[in-house]
Amino acid sequence: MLILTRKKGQSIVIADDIVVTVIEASGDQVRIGVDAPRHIAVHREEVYSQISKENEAARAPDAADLVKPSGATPASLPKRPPRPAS
Amino acid sequence: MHVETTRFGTIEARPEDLVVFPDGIPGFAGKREMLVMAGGDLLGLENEADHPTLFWLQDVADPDLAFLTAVPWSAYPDYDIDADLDDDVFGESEPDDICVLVIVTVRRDGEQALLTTNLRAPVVIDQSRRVGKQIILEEGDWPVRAPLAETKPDESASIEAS
Repeated sequence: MLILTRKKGQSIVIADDIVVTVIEASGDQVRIGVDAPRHIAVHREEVYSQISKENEAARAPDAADLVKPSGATPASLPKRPPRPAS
Repeated sequence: MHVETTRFGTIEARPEDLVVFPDGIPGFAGKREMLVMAGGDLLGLENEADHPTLFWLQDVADPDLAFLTAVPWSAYPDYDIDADLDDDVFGESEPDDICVLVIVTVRRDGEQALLTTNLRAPVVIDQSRRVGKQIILEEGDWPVRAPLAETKPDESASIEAS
């Protein structure tokens, strides 16, 4: 792993278009700003990991007996999902 | 085209039944193609034939990979995603074409099944352009395991919306 020391306000550049900046550091907390193109997804590691694990738990659900595809025929999605009346 | 599935046998699908996930979904990296099928009846969730609230997303390449998904608003009327969709996937999408589904997790304990849904990471689909992405909401406090339904211990086939 590449380890760099940065001061508040300083940045590192990843590839051509990703800039990670230390906004603030106090105690054991660091605020970090990430400037990246829209197609680069940036997430807190623990959140991404939690979603991955939940997807793993949800894959191949043991529910084919509970929820059968209606006639096993593909259906189109509702064009506009029902929203709460406001 | 034919889609082989371990749960539902072989399904005849039209190209317009498929949704491409260019980024894959977390835990299942790489471009994925999913067949969308309306789910059948899940008692208590008002899954009427004309307005289904449950959908299966069946991976085209992996017969065993399928996700059960739900339209979130039937169980959570206040659900709202305040996410910026203007990225490479949805950059050219019309707002009216955007559909939102949430992935359902089924946990079995003997005869009982507990269904939860992931409101933190909804699956957003452009119905017209047939592209989708699971987005992770950084704002809001939506749970990863929101209760959806639970089977009664004495009636394993019956589901009650919670």
